Amino acid sequence: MQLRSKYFTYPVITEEADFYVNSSFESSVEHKMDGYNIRLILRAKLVNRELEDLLSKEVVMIAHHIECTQTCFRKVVLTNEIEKEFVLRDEEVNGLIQVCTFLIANRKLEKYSNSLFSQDFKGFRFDIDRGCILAVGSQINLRVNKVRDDLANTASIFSIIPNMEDTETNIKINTSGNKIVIAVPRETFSIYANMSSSFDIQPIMHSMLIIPALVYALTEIKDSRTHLYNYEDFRWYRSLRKAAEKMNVLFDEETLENLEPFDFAQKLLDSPIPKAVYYLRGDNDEED
Amino acid sequence: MMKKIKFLTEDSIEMLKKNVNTLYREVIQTGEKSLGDFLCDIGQIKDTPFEIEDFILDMSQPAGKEPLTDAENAQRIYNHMKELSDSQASDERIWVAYTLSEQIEYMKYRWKATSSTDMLNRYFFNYSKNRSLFRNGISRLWWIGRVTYDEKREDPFELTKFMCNHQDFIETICGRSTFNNPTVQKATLNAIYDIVKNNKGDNRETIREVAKYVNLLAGTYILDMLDYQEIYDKVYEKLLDVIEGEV
Repeated sequence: MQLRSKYFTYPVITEEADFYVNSSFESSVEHKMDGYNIRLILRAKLVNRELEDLLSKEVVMIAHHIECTQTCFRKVVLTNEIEKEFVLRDEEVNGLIQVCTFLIANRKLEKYSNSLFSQDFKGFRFDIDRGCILAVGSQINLRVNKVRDDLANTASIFSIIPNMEDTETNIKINTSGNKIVIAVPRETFSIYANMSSSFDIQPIMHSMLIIPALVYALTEIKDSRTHLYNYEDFRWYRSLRKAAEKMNVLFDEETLENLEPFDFAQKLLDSPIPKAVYYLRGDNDEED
Repeated sequence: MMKKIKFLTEDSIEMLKKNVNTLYREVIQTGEKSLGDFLCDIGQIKDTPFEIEDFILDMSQPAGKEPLTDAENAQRIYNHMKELSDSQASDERIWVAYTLSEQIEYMKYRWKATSSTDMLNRYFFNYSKNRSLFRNGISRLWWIGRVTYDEKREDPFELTKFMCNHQDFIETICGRSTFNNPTVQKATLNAIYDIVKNNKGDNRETIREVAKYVNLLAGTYILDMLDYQEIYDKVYEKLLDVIEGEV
């Protein structure tokens, strides 16, 4: 569920409108892995004495709306407790999970009024149906990083694939999916595929293919540093961010402005270019 | 014969998407290559750990009436692959292995792609994640089964058959977030089913009006907390209003 600004025909506690005075409704979610499952700790804080009183009597309830559009999962957790735990099963969800929290009428409220209505509504009475929204909390987006892949392991964030267009002679890089895709001309790919299983030549392959791709991706991130939320959907971005954090490099606006993509790409890959040059000189024979 | 459920690796999917024009020409249009041949060095079609009884899909209807096979095929796919979790069944890697290889003949019969874009739309997940489930030629059959299967009914696939006979319902309602809640989905479907059964109305506009109405309701109510009967009654009353308005 995507929270949008709505026009209500009766007073609702929201951040955007002043239907009430001295009243608020806030929510938060914490998540922890619980084996393969995800344990959500759902919290809500209501400030409005009359509504708090109705909540204790379960006339109104806190509704945590949990949705994962990718798997068509949609569930409401109803409670009158300010903190509630809920376990999402691994097989029910994948990718992005949205949690929106509301205060809702649990039964029909006839001639509802509240002493903390703002001046415009003071003294008015409203008939409110069961299920109608009385207060809007936050929308929180969580991303499930599954402990196990449903189908197979997918470790790398790079995908090296053949480009079947016969006229193409250059290597192309694409960052618009989960992986950084490096499309290599068909014949070059066949040679690459035959050689890539050899561990020794990895620094050469990294220098020729992965380093330029990483420089491309890091430059893109640097250029997009003011709107990085667009990249949150891409696994390669999240993995790079995590790897960078381990090296004390945060992907924030200030750090990225000063980031040297070529230098940082080499650091991330543990400087493969000198290793490649040594290998070409034949140094690997000595190691054997 | 038992067979493992197939899937493609992410790298294979990336490669296919990068080469859609060649893929369309060589595998779909001319059929000169199988998917396995096309993938060559990048990898083969893989087996998941899940074993199922092998099955074929119904292609018995003449040209122009292919949608009439949907109800039967949704039952076949869902019956055979019921063990998949929702998370697994929302994974493009499984369904592309079926559209481009395991069930490619069915795909050519039911979804004749006349361009590489057509192929992307029906053979891959080319829309939003939710909508793609009901657009991909094979995953849509599984998900139609998933949302309509009702073991409480004498024929658990009764609603499947009804929904498949009303393709507008699939196009208008399936893949919309509000209807992902099984109670909302089933209550809406049943209200339409009962209205149609009693010959009170049956047209595209009615279904569109209902879809609009339920979306509107979802703006004011947390529909997911209402029970089946409450939603059914609201939709049924709205349907009567729409039909009476048409008279």
